[in-house]
Amino acid sequence: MNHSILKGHLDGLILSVLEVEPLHGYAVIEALRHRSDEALDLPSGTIYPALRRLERSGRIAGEWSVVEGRRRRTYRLTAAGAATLARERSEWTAFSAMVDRVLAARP
Amino acid sequence: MSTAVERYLREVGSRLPGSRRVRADHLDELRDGLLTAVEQRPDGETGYAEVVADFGDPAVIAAALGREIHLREARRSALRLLGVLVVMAVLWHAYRDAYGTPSALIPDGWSRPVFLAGTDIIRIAPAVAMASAVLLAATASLRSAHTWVRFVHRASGVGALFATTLFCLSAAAIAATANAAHRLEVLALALPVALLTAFLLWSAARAAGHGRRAFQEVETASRLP
Repeated sequence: MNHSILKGHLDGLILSVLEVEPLHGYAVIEALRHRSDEALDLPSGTIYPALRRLERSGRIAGEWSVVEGRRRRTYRLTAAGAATLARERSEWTAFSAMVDRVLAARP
Repeated sequence: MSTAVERYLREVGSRLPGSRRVRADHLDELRDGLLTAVEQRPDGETGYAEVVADFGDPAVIAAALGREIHLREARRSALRLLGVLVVMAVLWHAYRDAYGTPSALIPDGWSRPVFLAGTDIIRIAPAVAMASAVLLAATASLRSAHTWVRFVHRASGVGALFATTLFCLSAAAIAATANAAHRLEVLALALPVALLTAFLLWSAARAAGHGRRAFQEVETASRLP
């Protein structure tokens, strides 16, 4: 899949996988791959700046823990993140329905 | 730890801005992801080219993380600036309530207009600095890196620094031209004000610097979705 198509949508996708349970960075990218049946194959490093961006804007909250001697940052959805996710879902539904209607119309 | 992972972390770490602690936090998080990825491979080993293919160009990842670091630091400095300005305003009002307006400090002669101009500026500059700090903190909290966000972010950083510099210069002009008969009172006021304004200037310079650098590598960072 062309990664440029994802511009502006990655945040919503991340919020949706964090809606289920708190996850660390690599688990987020794996959840995205799994949910998309491996169609979404972003470079794994992409997820970390996106997580920090969402955290900076208050959509998710990160917390450090130590797992098998390694520091691990796990993120959970905040109330502001849940509200953003609901809005992005509704906008995407309306947008994709509109694109479907336009593309379905054949001469 | 895998040599390839170490090399990748070095490549990213050498490009990250911020303090040692901030860089270590980002690298620790990245390290955890890299090692988790390696552990999931059947042989538990990986080469540098594979790490880059899996995680992405270290320069691009570092630029995107760097933007986050700069924006967080800009916001922190802006909030610090705002906090100090509020404290200064509260202290000034408390002083005025206790001792009244120090009108005896107003000098005569040539220095009078300089002193009065200083007092005019010192009333306006903190309000401009506060407004700039609020704008800077607000734009540093947005997810968007739209052109107008970048413009407001940079402009508010410059505004905060400009207003704080004016404040410092006015405070210095007031102290230098105050009525010589009240030197002790001037000194009593000038010392705490000088300390606070030095802190103000430092915070404003940091806020403006991080605000400017946050979007310097916008094209590199924008290669990520």
